[in-house]
Amino acid sequence: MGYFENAEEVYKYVGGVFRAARENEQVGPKMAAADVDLQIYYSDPESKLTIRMHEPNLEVEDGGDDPNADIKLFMPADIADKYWRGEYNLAVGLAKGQVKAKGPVNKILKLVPLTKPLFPMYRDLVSEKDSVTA
Amino acid sequence: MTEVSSSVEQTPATTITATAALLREIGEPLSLEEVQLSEPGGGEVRVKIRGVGICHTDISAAHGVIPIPLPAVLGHEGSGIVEAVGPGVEGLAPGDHVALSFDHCGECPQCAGHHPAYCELFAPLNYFGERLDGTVTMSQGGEDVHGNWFGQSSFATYAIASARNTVKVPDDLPVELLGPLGCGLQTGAGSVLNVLGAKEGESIAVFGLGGVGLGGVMAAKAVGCDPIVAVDLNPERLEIAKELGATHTFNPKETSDLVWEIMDVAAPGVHHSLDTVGLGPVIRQALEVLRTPGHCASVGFQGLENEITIDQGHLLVGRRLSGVVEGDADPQTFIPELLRLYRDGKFPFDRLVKTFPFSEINAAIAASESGEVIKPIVVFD
Repeated sequence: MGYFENAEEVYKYVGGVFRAARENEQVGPKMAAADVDLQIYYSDPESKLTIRMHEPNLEVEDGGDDPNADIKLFMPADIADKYWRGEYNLAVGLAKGQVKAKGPVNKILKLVPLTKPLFPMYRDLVSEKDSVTA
Repeated sequence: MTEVSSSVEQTPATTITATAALLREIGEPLSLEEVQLSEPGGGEVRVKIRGVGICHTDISAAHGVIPIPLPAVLGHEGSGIVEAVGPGVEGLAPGDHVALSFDHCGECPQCAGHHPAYCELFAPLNYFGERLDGTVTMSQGGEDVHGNWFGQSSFATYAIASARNTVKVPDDLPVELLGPLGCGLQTGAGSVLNVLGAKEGESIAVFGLGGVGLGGVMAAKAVGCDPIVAVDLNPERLEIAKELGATHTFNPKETSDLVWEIMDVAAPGVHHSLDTVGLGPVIRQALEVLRTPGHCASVGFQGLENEITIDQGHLLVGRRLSGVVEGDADPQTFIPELLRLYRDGKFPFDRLVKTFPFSEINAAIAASESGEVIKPIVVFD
């Protein structure tokens, strides 16, 4: 059993941090400027997110499945949890094959530094769940 | 070979301030600012930098081709003197003269097989400016500065380097000039010696005569290749290639059929070719001048996505096209090998060099970009 009990929790917390990015004055505009559609497929639990980054918007679709997305990432949902806590190096995950990618991954790696300010926000988001499961 | 264990006591904590050339915005000049260095961690050393070469990869990162987080300190052809060693470092001590190269994990199958340039973790260890655990080696007033580019970030008066990519060199050599042996020169020479395996009497064509290509020409001359064909658009580069051992030179602007003319020099084609440019038409020419069987090594970097077209008919009948990083070299053994050739007068890399003071690092980068200088080296007092 992974950290998330079901897809709805993935959407609440992981989808939630992407939505928080949209509202963040420091991060939102820079992510929107990436001009890419990102499709993420999670396992354990099976779930998926579509993130469309095009100025001036950053759209997050829970359960979205865009076969024409520029970049597709495949990973266990636990890796997403660790990443957003600031405990997982995405470049290492890609190198070791723990995260699989299709498309110009370079564009996603450019976004990684932008996400660092969101890590405390994610930890706040999951703190309630952590306190229940601890 | 430098080994890492966990039995050595840590250096006492001190705060070291360095002057570093910070990249704050893509495409902007580097800015000389003070930064604070972390203590050398496990398997790390602190090096007082004496010189650092300007390499095409630094310039690519400064233009945003490689996604290094900012602010960052570039520089990956550093050399200098070890000042302190972190826990677990063996084989290196304060006072050692060293050249710095690329980082690698030392544990994956490629590293274990003496191909560290193809380390599983090459990208995260070299391109993102931070340790694998996400910590940084430099900071400024509490702000992270990404100072682990290629395990060194040597555009600074001090660098925290990985012991794995710190290569001890003899004290009687000009240490400030040795950094480019860890990347550009290693790439060209290593491609010729390690990948192509060029031998006495075999023919070779080198496309692009920067530091990498001329490193390839010198290595080819050192092992007795003949003929050695050198190709570049810059007449001055063709002249120095002749001085370093090229037997034939071609300026593509002055030839109507470059492939035909090179094959005429070494009919039915050359044994080996080296592309240091990375543009599709050049790679295609480098492949088409080969005899059968022949081997082309392509090392030119034009971006992480670089689609090219080749004629598969030219690959048939035993021709090979290989992509090469860092000359497929193990720096701990290859840099000493290049220094032996240098002492014997067979690898006169210092002829490619012009030095600049650290305060003029942006001029040094401009001189590299314009082609005015083959290998600018920034030197420190």
